[in-house]
Amino acid sequence: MAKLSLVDLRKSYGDTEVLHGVSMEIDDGEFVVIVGPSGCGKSTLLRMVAGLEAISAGEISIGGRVVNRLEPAQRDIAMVFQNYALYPHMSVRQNMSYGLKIRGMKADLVRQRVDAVADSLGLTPLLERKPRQLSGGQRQRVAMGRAIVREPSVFLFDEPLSNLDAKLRVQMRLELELLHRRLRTTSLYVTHDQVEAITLADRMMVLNAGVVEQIGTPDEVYRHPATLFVAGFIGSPAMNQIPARTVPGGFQVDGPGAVPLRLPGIGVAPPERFVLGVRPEHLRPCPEAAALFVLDVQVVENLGADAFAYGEVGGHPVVVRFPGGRPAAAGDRLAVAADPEHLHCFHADTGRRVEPQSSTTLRTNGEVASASSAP
Amino acid sequence: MVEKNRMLDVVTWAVLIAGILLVGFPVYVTFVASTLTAQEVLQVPMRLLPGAHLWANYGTVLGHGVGESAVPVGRMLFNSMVLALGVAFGKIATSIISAFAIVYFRFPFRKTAFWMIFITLMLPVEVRIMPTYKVIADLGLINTRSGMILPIIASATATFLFRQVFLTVPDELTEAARVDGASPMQFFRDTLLPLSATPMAALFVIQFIYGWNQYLWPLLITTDRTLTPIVVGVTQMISRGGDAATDWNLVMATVMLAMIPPALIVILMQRWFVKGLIDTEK
Repeated sequence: MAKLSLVDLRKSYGDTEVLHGVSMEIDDGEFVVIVGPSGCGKSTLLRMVAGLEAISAGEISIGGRVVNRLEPAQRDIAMVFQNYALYPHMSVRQNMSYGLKIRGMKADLVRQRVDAVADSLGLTPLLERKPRQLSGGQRQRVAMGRAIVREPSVFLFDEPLSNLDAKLRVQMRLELELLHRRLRTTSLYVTHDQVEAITLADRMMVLNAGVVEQIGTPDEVYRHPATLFVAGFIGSPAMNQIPARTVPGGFQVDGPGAVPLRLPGIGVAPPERFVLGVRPEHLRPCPEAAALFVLDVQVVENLGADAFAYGEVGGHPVVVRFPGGRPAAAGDRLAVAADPEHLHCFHADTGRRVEPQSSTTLRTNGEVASASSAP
Repeated sequence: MVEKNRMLDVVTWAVLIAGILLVGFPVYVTFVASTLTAQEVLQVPMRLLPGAHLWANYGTVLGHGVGESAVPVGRMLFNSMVLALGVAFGKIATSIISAFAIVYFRFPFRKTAFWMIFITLMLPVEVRIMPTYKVIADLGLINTRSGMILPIIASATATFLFRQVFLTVPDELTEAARVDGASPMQFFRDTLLPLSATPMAALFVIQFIYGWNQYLWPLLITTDRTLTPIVVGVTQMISRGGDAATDWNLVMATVMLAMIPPALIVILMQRWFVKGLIDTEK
């Protein structure tokens, strides 16, 4: 168990920099998920921590020891690979023992440890089998077992669940969570699946194009996305993003028709051009007079527990989620509103969240906005 | 290939049987000849049923040899076996190591090394026979087994085979081994060698037969009859003109003996052989 700290990590291939300075302090026992779209550099980052990829600039330390120049085996880490990377010619037991054997541990001690870990993962009946005789889920468990027997300071997971089918993935996710609760080993987990990220993480790092967009608990990231990218990436369906502008006396949707936008007090003063973000699950139908905006419904999808209404406002797509019934039909005009704390305001140019400018919360001119929204 | 047609079946069988007869009949005649006496072999028309001298002929050949030189064929078989095994093992050992270096290490002039090996493909023993003879002679390896084996080992085909095998080994496996703390040689021994077992077996079969069938080089490099492999030995039993008559029955017995080891290797290792050539997945 140890702290893991990343200080201004950079990675370049030739002249191309793919990681532009990533810093994070990971506490002892914390489970941190790095999430981002493919090609954002998340796997590269993990491989740098593992020692499989050279570090162009910056510093990685594990348990207070700088490991930049150490071989993977000397870093006191264990890694679970996406394709499991089990040795195909070795039995499950040999796979799990190999690392310990190389370290020169006594055979009976190795046996004891492997037996204990296999028992805790339900692998005991499979110990003498070869990887090709195992199912995907079992291989995954062996890969984890191989990491666990080494009792490392830090676990590294590189998209470990992405090769499993949907049902198994949910099951293994739960197992991973239980495992972490039991072992409390510092873990760094890379995934492109935001659901995995939110459910597993103590804290998560959202990475995009080699830049950290936000670091925070899943709750913080979900409730207060720091950038438009995070807002769009975390949550399913994605947060509605409606470009808007400040006009004399109020706000309106950027686009044809000058559709008025009636913003209640959201605690910040929007800049002249901004993007309004609101999640589908936070929109609810309301009388037209109190509406944030009015939506032209195009399609309604009923999923049983929920229904999704897809529509447009001022040419921008909007999704509304309704728990239970089917409140609208295609062709309807639907007036929707949301609570002020669920409205997010982003700079149109930078994509950054508009933060309250000082401790004194600036009130938006809700009254003016409502007045101007009258047709 | 799922066509069901009686006519087609008959044709298929006819072609296959004709092929087997074409290949099998000479071998059968050889066998028959090896069971006759020297006089019976020369009778016209030739007998097509085995005679009664099988054990006598094979005994003579194995124990005493044939012709003026008279090296026992048992000795020749041993020489051939050493040659074939030496070529097979030597080639596998050198090529797997060089492929390991080329695929897994970044060293200066790696590309150059690779192309140097590649170029040897264009230079089989027959092409470089004079310079190779000079080198072997300077090394004092004339009339030695090493001199016979070494030049035949030096060629790139096997290196390429192993390079292809290693390129199919997933990078993640290499990385897993690094995380597990395996040194390069430990990785080679514990992971690459077992994973290359089938191609190694296939290569063994090919190289064993290649070594066994060597004729020109051993003929050139050995004057010492006790080192002669059987393929060379057979030709030396046939007298070219002169007074001595050729004992064809004994020559045929030697030929039969010369055919057995490679045939056995193929038959026993057939499964591995086929698997090693077609099995890319692993």
